Amino acid sequence: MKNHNGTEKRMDPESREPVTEDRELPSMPAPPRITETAVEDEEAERARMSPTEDIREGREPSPPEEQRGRESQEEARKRERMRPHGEAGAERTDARPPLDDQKAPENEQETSQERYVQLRVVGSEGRWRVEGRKEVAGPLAVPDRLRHGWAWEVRYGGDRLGVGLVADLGTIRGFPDPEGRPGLEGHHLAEAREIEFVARIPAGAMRDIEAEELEIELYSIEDPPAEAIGPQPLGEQFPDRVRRVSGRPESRQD
Amino acid sequence: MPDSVTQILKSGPPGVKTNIAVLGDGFTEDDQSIYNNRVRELLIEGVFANDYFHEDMQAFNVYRVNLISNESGVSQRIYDEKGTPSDASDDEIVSTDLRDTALGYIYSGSWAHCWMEPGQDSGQKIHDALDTWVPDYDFVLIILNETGFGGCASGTRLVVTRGSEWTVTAHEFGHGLGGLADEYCRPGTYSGSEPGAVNVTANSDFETLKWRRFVHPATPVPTGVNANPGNGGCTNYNQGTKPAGWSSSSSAGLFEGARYRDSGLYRPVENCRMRGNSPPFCPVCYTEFKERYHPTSGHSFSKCYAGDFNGDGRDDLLVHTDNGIQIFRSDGAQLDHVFSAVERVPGSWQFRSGDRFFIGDFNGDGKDEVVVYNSTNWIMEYLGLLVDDGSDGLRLIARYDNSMPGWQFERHDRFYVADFDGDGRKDLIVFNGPDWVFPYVGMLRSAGSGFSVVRRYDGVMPGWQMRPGDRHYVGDFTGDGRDDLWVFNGNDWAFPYLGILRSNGTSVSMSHRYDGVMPGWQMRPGDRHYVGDFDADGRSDLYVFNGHDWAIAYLGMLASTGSALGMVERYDGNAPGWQMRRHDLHFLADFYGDGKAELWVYNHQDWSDEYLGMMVTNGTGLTCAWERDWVGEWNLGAVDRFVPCNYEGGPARRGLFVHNQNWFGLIRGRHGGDFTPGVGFSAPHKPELQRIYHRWIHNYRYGRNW
Repeated sequence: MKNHNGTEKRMDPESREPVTEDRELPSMPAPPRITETAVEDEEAERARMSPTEDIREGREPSPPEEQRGRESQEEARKRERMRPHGEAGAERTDARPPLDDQKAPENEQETSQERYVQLRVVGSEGRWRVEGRKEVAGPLAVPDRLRHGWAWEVRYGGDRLGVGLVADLGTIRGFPDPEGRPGLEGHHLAEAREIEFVARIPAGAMRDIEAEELEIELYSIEDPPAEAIGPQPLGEQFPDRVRRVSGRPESRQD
Repeated sequence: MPDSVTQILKSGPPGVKTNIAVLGDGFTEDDQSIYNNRVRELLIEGVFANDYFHEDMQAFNVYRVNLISNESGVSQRIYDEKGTPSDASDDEIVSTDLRDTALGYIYSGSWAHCWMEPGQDSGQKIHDALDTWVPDYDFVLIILNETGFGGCASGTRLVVTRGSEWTVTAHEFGHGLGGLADEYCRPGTYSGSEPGAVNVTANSDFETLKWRRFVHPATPVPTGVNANPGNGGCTNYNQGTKPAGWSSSSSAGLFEGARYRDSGLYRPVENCRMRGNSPPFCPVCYTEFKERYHPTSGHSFSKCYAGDFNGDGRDDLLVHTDNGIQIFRSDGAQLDHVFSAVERVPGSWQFRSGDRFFIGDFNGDGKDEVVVYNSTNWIMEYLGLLVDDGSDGLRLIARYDNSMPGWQFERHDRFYVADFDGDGRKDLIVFNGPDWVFPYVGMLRSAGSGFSVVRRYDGVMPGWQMRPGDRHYVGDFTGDGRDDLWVFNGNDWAFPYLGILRSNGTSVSMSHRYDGVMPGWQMRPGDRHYVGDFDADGRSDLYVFNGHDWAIAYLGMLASTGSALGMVERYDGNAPGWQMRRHDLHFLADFYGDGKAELWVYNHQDWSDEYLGMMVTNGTGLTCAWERDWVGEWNLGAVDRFVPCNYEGGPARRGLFVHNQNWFGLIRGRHGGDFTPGVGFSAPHKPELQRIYHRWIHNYRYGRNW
């Protein structure tokens, strides 16, 4: 931050000169000149607190309407008073568990207008079909970067409708033999005949579009790029870093 | 009993979290409790109660679907394996005993057949169940009512038997959710290209090693070399002497043997979960999970609180994020994650973004408890008392819904932690200025297990007419062991007032009221007050600062005599070593542990750089030292927030938690040695950074995540 002259300002711990923030404001008198009886009347129109000895409990406190600025006296009078201390009320006196759930506002679940469509995609060798479609309430998170594994992309008419990541596809792994019998020590590995993943599209983007009209791509990512995902198709943005799955998905083993 | 679903981990909307759907097969109506217990043991008490997944459980939802099978147990198939159990190609089915189960899975116990297999229409049944009961899913876990061993994973679906250990499930999550490779070994040499998985490599060059940042430069690379390829074993540290303190799961190097090979491929540690199941994830695998799921956990360092939750004398860290909390334990020099809670803690308290936390030892057990208040997210106000659950976590023991006898909660209630009866248990003072026809003050005494209103003041306190603009502070003005109530009002009257009301344990009385001026100090609306005992006489004194209402900034030190305040020192524009400015911010400290309350001071607005300073007192004055722009690796900024604390332990309270959305730091005020009157301190004192974390708190053995 520069000072008003545009030069850099650094603290000088040796300085004896105080920094003047606002020359229009006064300086505080030296301590000896300030005693409890020397009170400046800041605003003559405003009230002063009563002397301490005159303020006792039991006396009707005056609602501070005059202190609330723009609020009218009528508005101030509409406020209620707390039930007198000691008066039995509707309070629950037993605060110990087990307790009911806290009560949410009735319209809480309806406040979000966001919805998305969940598509169950199944296929192999680059040919995909949508076998399930369901609308889900709530917001949808979209990844901003690729990671090792797989990425799906759904387009319509060349425009991207959705993109997402899947960590693991295509490999069937059986648990290693618990007895460590020879030949059975590790996973039994096989390639999946078909693979399945879930794609998610904002509901508004899917309106009036049939699932069969969608263009679905699945990409394998070995060495993910550091760059953020841009608007263009993944295969165009990262031609050397993603590989479109046209054959059977690689099972990630030798 | 019809099918049903229960969400057993509720982190947030399905579209922004990772959703795990759990289905059961072969569980009849009578078996549902077995299924429910198994799911709880496997996931809630297993996977999500340990290391990485416990830390980031707020990134996940878990839906448990209860499917009622007509027959108990799953279908059974016997294979004639022809004496070649590893080769399925020559196997013949001897028998298949079909049972009428919800998903139609068939168990064989044959390794070569993945231990189990789907029935003819299992796929459709699974889809029907998911479509009906689960709003969305990213991973499906199917538990078979089968006591034999086995598990089979394919992409984002895992099928296990009842006896499966949680550690194996966590390992499989490493594949299905983390994209991690296996790290265990079998005979064979790898000769292919560099694998893409983050946790295996064919590259033995340290300079280009993909996890180089976690490997100490003194670590030999490779760290473990297989002298006998073909032995099928994973090689551990054998290139030199393993250093003392080396961790087989957390210390990174380059160890030969990974992903079903014993040579030609390397893994980051000797034994990670991706090799041995039981250990936690190694630094490489842990970081991969964090990079994937930290963003959807919602975690940030925006809301941080200090408290000694386990009573070891060191302040720990509580982080609140929307509907969850995390606790990090201090060992004096660093923080370690010990507890996560999502959506609620037992008792129960349901966390929401509007929760406000108040920390104090409310039951006198030497550990800090947590009072939490929410006046914004529910149809009524709630106040809860959370205590240590005995397992590093918290549980609710008392909750007040909408009101308590003597006090009706309202939106703008403000709470102050104070031991006003001197019994060693912190109590609460509550003030509400704007929500009623006049202000109220309540004294809520703690009984250790809850609170009760011992006194309420309606509109007036003795000698004080309350106004909505009243500001309150607490401190033992008289030195009688009871915290008193200090109240200031700078805006609602013709001139400012400061009142000090003495507590007798059940009520307050006016001890002294200052009308417009204090000794040596002319009050102004912009006065800011810090109550602390700066002369260590057992009575709380007053630091008062004003940077706005005068031409220059002023800082006053007024000492309590027990019945009044007296000016000790006033700094006009400069304190020794610190040029005071309008936007100085102060936090209380005790840098030497000598019982003298001192000040941190921070200014990020009035200079070209930010300044963080220590204002050290000898009881009658201040000397200051500071750091500019950087405190160690911490680049001071306008978004930084500070929480004074004692994370080191000991008598001094010289620590600061410094935090903003993505960064967290431990700063302490380094001692300035001994003080000699007329001479000064024997050594410079200055703020110093002890530890820094970015995005998440994790103490890597070497390296960092940025």
